[in-house]
Amino acid sequence: MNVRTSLSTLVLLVTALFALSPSAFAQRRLEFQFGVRAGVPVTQFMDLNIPVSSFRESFDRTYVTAGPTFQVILYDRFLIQGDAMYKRVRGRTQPVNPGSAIFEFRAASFEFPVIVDYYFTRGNWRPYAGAGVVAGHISTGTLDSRFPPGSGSGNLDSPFSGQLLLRNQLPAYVANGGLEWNTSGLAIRPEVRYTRWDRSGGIGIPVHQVEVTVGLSLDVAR
Amino acid sequence: MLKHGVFIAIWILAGAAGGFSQGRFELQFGASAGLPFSISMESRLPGFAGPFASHAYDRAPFFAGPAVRAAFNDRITLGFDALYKPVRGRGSERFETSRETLSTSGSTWDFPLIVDYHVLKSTPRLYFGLGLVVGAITRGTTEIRSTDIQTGASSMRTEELRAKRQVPAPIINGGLEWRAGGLVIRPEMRYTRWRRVDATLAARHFNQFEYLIGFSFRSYER
Repeated sequence: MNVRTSLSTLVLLVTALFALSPSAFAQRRLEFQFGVRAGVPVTQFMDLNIPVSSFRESFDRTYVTAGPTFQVILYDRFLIQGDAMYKRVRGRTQPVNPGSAIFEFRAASFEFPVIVDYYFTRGNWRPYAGAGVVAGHISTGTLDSRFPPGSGSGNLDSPFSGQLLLRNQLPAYVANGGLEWNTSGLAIRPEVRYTRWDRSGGIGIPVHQVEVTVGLSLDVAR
Repeated sequence: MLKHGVFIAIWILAGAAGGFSQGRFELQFGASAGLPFSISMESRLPGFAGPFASHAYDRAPFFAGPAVRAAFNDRITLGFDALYKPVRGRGSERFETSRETLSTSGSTWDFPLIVDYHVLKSTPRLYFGLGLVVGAITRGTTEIRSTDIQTGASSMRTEELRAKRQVPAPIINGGLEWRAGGLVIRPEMRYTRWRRVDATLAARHFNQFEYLIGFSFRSYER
């Protein structure tokens, strides 16, 4: 996450803090919820976008995305969601020439989407839809080389180990839709979320991302 | 440095307690634990050393440690943590006549001192704050296996893991606090900006985003 993104996130946070004035809170126009969100990315999460013929790259499918979530409900009509969603990244490049080094990627991706949703109805079952931005994105990990068995190079050539700091792909825009079910102070929100990432060359997230997740949140104050 | 940090914390706590003797003062003892969003350590070897040496650190899976907080007038909280993080890394170095592979294991302790302001007094208590990492300790060892290119003979040695001084490091944080009887729970987002240092195998990554939850007990009140 670069400084500009950090600053914009901070500005967003501070604005949200000032928006939550005590008077509004006293009139019960605000509701806070806190919980977890987990689900499945439907699309390939990471790829390598450079035209090379000397190696082939492959990324493992990311099966799960999960993280803490925080919600503010305004006037029982608008839902503001802030998440910190984790995804595991595993991949490798395999050289076309036998005996060359294989490079393995191991990283963790954290996305921080902030989404404003509108509830179409009131009651226990409430469909909602909205849009937002990814306010921050952090992807760090390691890049290690190893030589294939029997290549003869593994004993003396130095294995390479480097830090993998993926380029920021912001701005990224989010659209979502789902259904909220309220029961005994617990809000269950299955939803579909689409994210459009900025894109450039190298290792990165493909432009179009779709994931299906379920959020479980508790009312912490009303 | 740690001694100075502890001294500053005690001095501020004592001074502030005196200053707020007319109002409410409360001490809380507990623990904080959390998840770093990015790598904590990195190697910074620019220039001539860069092409011949590589090193990478894994993202720490967690951090945890004891915490003490002083709350004044039910509005301002001064907190001091001692946060432990495991460190794991590996790398290699190339010389004219030999190759070396490195394996690092150790830990870091950070000592942040943070002043939080509670925007809302109602439950949950929304807060944000500023602070400094007043002390930081890095401990560990690097096992180095050296292999002679000519003979293939290998030897092993161990070196102490050393990190350059990067404190004081500014902190921005924000979170929620709610109270259940004598227990105080504080989920929080924290950003630390470490000073950049070069020419070292072990430095704190300059941008650190973390999610943590603090649990503490209200143990003294007047």
